[in-house]
Amino acid sequence: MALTGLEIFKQLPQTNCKDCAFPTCLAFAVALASGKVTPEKCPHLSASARAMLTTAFAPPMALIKIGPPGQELVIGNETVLFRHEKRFEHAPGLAVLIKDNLPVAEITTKISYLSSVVFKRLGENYGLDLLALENCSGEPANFKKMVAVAIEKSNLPLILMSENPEAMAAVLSMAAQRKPLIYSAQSTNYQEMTGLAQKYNLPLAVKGKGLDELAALVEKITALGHEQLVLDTGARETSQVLFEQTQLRRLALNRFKPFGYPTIAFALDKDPIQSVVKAGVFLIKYAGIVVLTSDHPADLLSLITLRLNIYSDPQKPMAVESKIYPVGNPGKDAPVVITTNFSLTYYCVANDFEASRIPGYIIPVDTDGASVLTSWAAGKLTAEKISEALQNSGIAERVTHRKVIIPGGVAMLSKRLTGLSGWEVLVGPRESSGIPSFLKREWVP
Amino acid sequence: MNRPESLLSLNESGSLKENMPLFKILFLPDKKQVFVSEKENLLQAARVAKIPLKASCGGEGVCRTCQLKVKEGIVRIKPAEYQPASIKPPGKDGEKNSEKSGLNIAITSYVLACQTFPLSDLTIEIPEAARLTKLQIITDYRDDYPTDNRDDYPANDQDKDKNVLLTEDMGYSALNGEEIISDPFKKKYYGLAVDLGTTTVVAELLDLTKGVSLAVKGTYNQQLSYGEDVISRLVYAQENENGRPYLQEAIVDSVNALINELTISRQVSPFEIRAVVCAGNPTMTLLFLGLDPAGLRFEPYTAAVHNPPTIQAQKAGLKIYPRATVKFVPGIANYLGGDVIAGVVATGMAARDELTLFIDVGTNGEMVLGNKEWLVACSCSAGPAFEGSGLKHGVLAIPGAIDSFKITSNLEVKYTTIDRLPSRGICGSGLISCLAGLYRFGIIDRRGKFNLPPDHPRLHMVNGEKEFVLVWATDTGINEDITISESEINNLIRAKAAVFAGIRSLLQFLNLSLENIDHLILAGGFGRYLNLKEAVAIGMLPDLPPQKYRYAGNSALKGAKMILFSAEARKKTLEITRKMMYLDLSEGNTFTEEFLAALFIPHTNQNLFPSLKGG
Amino acid sequence: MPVKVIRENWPGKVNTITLGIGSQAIKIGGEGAFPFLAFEGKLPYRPVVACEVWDEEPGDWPDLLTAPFAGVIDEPAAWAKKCLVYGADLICLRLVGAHPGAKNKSPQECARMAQKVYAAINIPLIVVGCGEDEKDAAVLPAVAEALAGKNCLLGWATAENYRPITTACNNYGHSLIASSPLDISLAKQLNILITETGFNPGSIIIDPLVGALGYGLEYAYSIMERLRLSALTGDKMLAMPVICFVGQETWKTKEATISDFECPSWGEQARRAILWELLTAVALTQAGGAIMVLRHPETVRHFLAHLTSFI
Repeated sequence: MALTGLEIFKQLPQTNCKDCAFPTCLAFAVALASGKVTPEKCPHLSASARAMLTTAFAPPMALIKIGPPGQELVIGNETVLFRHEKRFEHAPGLAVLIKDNLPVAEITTKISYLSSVVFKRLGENYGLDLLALENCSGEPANFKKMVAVAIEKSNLPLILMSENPEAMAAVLSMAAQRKPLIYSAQSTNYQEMTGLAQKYNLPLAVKGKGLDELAALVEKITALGHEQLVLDTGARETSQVLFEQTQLRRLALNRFKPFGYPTIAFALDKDPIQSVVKAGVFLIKYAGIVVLTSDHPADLLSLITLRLNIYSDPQKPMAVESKIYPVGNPGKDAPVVITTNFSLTYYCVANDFEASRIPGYIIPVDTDGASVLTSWAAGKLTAEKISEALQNSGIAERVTHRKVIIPGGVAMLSKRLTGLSGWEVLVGPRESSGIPSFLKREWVP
Repeated sequence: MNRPESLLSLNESGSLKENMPLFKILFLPDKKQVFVSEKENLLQAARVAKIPLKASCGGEGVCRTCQLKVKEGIVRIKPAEYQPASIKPPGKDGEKNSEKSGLNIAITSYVLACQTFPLSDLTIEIPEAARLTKLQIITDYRDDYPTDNRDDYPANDQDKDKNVLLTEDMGYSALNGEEIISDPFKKKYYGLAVDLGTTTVVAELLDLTKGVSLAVKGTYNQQLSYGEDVISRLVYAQENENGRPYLQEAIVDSVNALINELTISRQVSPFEIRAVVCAGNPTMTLLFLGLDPAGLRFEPYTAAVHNPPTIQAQKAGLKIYPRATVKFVPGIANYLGGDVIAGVVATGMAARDELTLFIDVGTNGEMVLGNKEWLVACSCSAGPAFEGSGLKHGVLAIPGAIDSFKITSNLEVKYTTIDRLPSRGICGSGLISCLAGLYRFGIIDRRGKFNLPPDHPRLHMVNGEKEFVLVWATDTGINEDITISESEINNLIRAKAAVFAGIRSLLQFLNLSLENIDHLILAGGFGRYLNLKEAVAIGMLPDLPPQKYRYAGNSALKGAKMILFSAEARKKTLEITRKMMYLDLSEGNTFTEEFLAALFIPHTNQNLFPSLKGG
Repeated sequence: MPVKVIRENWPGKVNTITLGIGSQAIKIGGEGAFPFLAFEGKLPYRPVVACEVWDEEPGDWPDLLTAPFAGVIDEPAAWAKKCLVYGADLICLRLVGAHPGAKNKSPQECARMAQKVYAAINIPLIVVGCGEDEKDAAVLPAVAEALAGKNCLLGWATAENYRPITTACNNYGHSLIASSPLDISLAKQLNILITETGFNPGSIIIDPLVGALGYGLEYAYSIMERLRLSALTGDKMLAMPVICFVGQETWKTKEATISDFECPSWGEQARRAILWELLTAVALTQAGGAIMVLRHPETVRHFLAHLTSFI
């Protein structure tokens, strides 16, 4: 039961003192309601209001950090079931599983490779988030060797996977400073595992068989005083995982305390492609960490891209990519129209351009998703920017003429744009609805 | 050559060479004569002659509203840099331009004033179409309901205004502590409340000692010949040398003209006007003060908007008591200025328990939502469509403007005009009425696309675009068909969608719904002739019971007057500016989504318009 | 500790649409819950796969994509038959050749082609035009007439050309794809306009113009989730099943078309391209897509295998 801005406003001093750095108490209340600030930012709250708001704004899901400070993976704190309601806060960690029954040389190669995977997208580097090291041989010595290699060869945060508290204790003695996730506490070993997690102050994965057992186990562990948890229901079949992940998220948002933690899911199919598909489903539907076996670059690239898409912020103004958009089948003498990359502006222009039935090109200039006049007013739509877009788009190779049509609202950029770009500038209509008649009237290549 | 002195200071190029020959320009039918050099275009010459012309684009050669006829003489037309490929004469008798050695030399032809320079003495005829005509200016303020029957409007009620006066501090506030009572010479103390609008300027002369209003006058803002909207003025101020001083002069002149009229009409000496309070949007306020409006565009934003300085009349260039104080109602944001704040003061909404939505639709749609606890404001770019701009037959609310339509089921079109003169175009309220009528009888579909057989007699194809003939040429005062095209309808739908989306965004920001609104107050010229039913039918205004609607007239002027009269009102104004928060609609996607949903008649979500269901 | 699972009680559901006739008919839609959450509502029909067949040999498809259709790619009827072998639930014939900028084929020529492909297959047929509003408005009525009574799915009806296409679908008994760009209001507006011409809203399928993985997938994803939410909460004008033209979007991305050695760090194209098409389809199915229009047979195989994991 989220409080609305007005409900919060009633709890505030209403002095508009600006000490919270917001212009008015109402602005602060609304920012608080949407989770952009925390109640402490208001220094003048009454004790009762503070208590009330702090409880109301405690996140329904804990924030969990895995890995050493500065390199840690942060998951949890999710607040919605659908990304359009607000946004998904923390992108899930992608982990690749490595088993300790492989030869050390192979383990070393694998770890080195996985730690070096980098994909560039929209100017940022993305790679794998975690290594999941599994003690599947059952031999503590093998486990220790593998973990040692990982510590030496990789900076990635680790998931240490063993049901054996002794084996876990042994690797933790050397790996604890890397702040790994301990996987996992189960009904048979939870006391020892919780003890280890507490000793080193580490996050602990809790694995129960199904929702009921998981809830019970979490209550026992929190009763022991440990709160850095990651949940695993034990399910591995896609449909069962989907059901349980959905319930975990719904119940967490409903403030069912035992499920107020991020989750971990495993996509370990024999068929490598199905394993990627499964991982994709879990990335979308609520897992905090997804573990897969594949280390194929195409698998990682596609999953990382999917995660970037789903975890992008839907509140950001929708923008289209700044590039050449052909309308119809334009030829060498087709008109070139400039607009901004605010999706609405672009679609208006594209729509009206199409209505003209004259083929041509649209180049939306990157204005951070602002409309023509807004971006002009903010200095984001300038002659320099348009000239740059003309140059970078490669439009000069698509058309033989050198005429560009700019929005009528920014007629004043004409002279400077001609000077900068060498293109002849035609001033189009102020409203995109005028494009058809403008082109029919004025366009001569 | 005989060179009038005043001209030197008025030349826009600013660097008049001594040896540059001056040409005599005679404007007809005004019979006004000025001298300009070959460096000055005809738009500038007309400004010198004080003949206000339309130039919506500010003289960029884009809008083509400043077409004049060269009757005698030779002119140079600026080589087309971004000038439209062809200049078509509005009449039938236009003669072709001849081309000679790179210059377009025109002899007796229609030209764009802003792109045309004299090469000889000239005789110029100014067609009516190029002139800024007398406007219907909203000088009154009221507190009543807009209804279908306009005769129901009660006359401006002066007694009501008197109620707001607090006799104890009357005048005191305006004179900033200067005691009136102790004045041994029993001088007269007058005040002036001014609404500095983008299109019109309105001033009210007040007797500060008696606390009464003496007269109200309005005129167009002379800045109009530098561009129709705020953006073109900003551009003019920044892209032209001396742009700022020219714009300042234009608006100050407009106010001085009103002062002159007002004082003559009441036989008051202008030098007895001791205090002025102006309410204007941020751009007008800055331009009046001669300040750089660049601060409205680039960070760090100018502080002058939020707290404009108080200056002396002589510094402001106002021809009244030189040391009279000139105050400006403060704004709260770059696109939310003193005009809106004054409106909020006038409505008293910030003192009520009930929730009020205050809407001032002009070039920008500004709205304020709130009660005595809180206030939130936003500005949604409605586009100037409702002021008739951007439409071939759109006009401001001038005499002869069509202000309402009645379309019958057999597609006959009836209409009324302002002052019952022959029709000259369609003004804002007429456009809403037109849209409602076209939709109601299935001439357009819910998106505004024509839904008529292509051979329908009222449907014309012009430049590959469908136009609907509303009034046949023979019935007009301009001798051409008054039409509306599909893209113009599109434009109107976008404008109405912006207003409704603004309202919804404001409400959504606070998790409120339309039903929560107790009072909806419309202000400004726009609401004057508005048919509420039609505005709801097209989905521009919310479908609320009519008794929740009120029309406030020129609320900015009323607010300015209250502030001038009462210290209490001044205190409240400051409280309001502290309390009001500005919601930037460009943040997040709420406005965009609401806007798209509103691009439909009446709306994508028909549940929002329960009274229109099934009809 | 027994956990009380949360079951939503949805008042509405997605429309059920039958495509095709007789024993060949298939049903889609009808969902009373979010995708694959059968515990709180009926999910009577699984998502289906339509394979794309062109009336003209595609000029710009990568070898990887043309290889499975070697020998049939210039023969639409044979191509369609090949798709049956690859497991298609429907065939989606695309009349590329009708485009005025391409071969500008006549409506009659297009109609004959549609008939020919229809005759060659025993599964329901989708026919889409060339994407040029005006031409499609001329072509699709001819196709509708030629396939009268066969209960096909025709597209694309847009806000610009919906009238003639709607009328033809109404007269000759076909369902209709209503296509609008990436916005729930625009989708609803088009559905209202189409319905107001007298067309049965139960025969409309929404095409929200999806983007591929890495190219705006998330916009389509959220719009489709909102469409499903609207259907489940009872908005009749948004209760239509959704079709996703996944192949068309995927196979123009860099990730699907760049060869192994142009970008070795991205892995082999064969795996990468299939995954790109597959993950786009999988994600959009999670958002509620009912028909996935795919291109590569490998994608079809993996996608159908993935769906079996929910049975």
